[in-house]
Amino acid sequence: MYLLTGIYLTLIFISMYFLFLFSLLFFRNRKEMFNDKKSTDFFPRISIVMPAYNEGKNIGRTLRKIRELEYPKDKLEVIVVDDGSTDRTSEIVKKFKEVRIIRHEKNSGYAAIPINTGIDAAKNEIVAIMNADSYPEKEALLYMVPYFKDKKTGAVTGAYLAKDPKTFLQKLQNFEYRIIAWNRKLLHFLNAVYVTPGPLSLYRKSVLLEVGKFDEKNLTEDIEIAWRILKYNYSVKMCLSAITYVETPDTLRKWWKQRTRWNIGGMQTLGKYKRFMFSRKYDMFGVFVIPLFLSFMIISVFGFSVISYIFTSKGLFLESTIIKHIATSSKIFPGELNILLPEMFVFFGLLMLIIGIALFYIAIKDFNKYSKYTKIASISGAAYNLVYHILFPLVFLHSIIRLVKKDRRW
Amino acid sequence: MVKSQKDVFWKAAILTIAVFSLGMFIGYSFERGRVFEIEEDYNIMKLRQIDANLQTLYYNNMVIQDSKFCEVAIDENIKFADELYEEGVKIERYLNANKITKDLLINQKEYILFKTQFWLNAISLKKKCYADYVNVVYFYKQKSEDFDVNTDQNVMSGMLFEIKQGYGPEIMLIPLAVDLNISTIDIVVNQYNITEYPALLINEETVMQGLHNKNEIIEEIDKFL
Repeated sequence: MYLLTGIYLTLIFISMYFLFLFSLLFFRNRKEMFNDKKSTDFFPRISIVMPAYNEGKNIGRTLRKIRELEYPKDKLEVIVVDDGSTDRTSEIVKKFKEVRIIRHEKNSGYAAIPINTGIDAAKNEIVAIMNADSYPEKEALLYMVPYFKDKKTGAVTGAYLAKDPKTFLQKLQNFEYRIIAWNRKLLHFLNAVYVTPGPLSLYRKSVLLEVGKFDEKNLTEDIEIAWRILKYNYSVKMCLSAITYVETPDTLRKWWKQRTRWNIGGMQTLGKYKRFMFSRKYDMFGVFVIPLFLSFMIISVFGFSVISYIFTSKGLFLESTIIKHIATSSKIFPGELNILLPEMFVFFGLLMLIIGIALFYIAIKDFNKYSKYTKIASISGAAYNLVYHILFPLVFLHSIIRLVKKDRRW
Repeated sequence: MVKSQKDVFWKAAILTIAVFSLGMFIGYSFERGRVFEIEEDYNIMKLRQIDANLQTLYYNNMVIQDSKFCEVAIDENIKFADELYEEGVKIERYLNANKITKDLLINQKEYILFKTQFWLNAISLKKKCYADYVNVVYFYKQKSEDFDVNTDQNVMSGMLFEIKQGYGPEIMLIPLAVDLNISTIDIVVNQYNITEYPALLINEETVMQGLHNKNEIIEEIDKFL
């Protein structure tokens, strides 16, 4: 029992530290969170690279969205890399005369390969990598480019929201993506943005070439490239005003598949860079980003395991007691149903829950105040915390099993 | 920009240490509070136990002329038995809740010794005063790792409490933990050949091992009333 208490208290301490860290960052930088400046006089040339594999359903809509972008058209080039599609992807793209298409005859199986093809073909210094099912807001590029005035900026990423969330799962993801964007903005203030997601991220081409472009074998090439950029001492910026809408999985099965891929890719990346952990030579990357990533994984697995063990064992005990009371024709006293005496586990758990919910509530209020974001109910936070969060450790455990079995099918 | 924000790391660390320490202190205070509560109760019980011992010595050595003596003595013993039982339940609950300090275990042993002594008093008093209450000794394991034994004991505790509420002063309920290395209890367990827990010893005659239906237990008790 002392071992369990020790593990629990260690997890609580680590979780509490990160909770206070993010809280301090937030309250210090609250005014800056949505304070991105739209570019009025700085319009670097941008090459938009779009890898595509059987995206016939979405790519037309995405290319039309690119046409609507409020950015000087003579400063944009669009390159679609068709990675061996067997549907009408190429046919649809050819209808857009301003788009250059490069075709791979055979599907490479990895997202990074067509991206690297596009980078090589790009003529401009700023390269925007965009998914074929992304729908950026018109002003997205205008908000992102000012960050490149800083020569140390290697990449800029934006906020991704769910496009037309219909199912309960999609609505939970819509909430989740806001929290992710919020977290990422806080990390921006520490130069610790550790991912440049595929829907829309901008890179300095010279930096991409210097760091060696995208890792062609990594399942989450967007995490891995961000880590590499940080390792080379460039910064990755986060722009909450640059919004891109993305298609989200509408069924649990699709969601599970997506998250398994994200987890496996994350663990691959961690494995690749673990030797730089705590290395001060790499500044925030070594000292903070890698330990943060690892801590989240450990807390996810161990925290879930400990809490599951406690509630499952107490729950099973209670269930068995009730059944036996019925079998022996004896009364159940209310005191027997009280499985939560005021003890340390409960005190710390409640404290973390209250602080976490308060922080979520304030963050959502801020999002709702900012006109670019459609309002969502704070009550979503309850469903998110109580229902959605439970899934994360489960999919993570599944990902570990697949990684151990070397099953990296995507 | 980055340099000016790095102070959040040590500020967050200080805040975490402060809150965590406060939480540990509050948790420890709760637990110590429980220990103090039990220790205070114990001091009161100790005096009551000495008093009960003196009573036993008195009625063992004196010829009892006045029947009122027996009434008072029996009444006092029943009250004492109920208080001992409730105290035992409280200690068990606190033992399960306390995560840092396990000092309550020592108190628990002392209470078991009290209860054993009390039981022997009850037997003597019965003989001397021709009392008709029924002694129900409940044997259980304090430190069992067996899920079934623990749930059976949990149910049995509640069931006995319910039965005691029904019978009032007609039964003396005495729970005794068998795995705390108390030799007197080991002797009793061996004498009655008790191997399965929870177990009941009714009026030093009938043994019921394992979890039984409430009505079966009532039936056995009624045979002595």
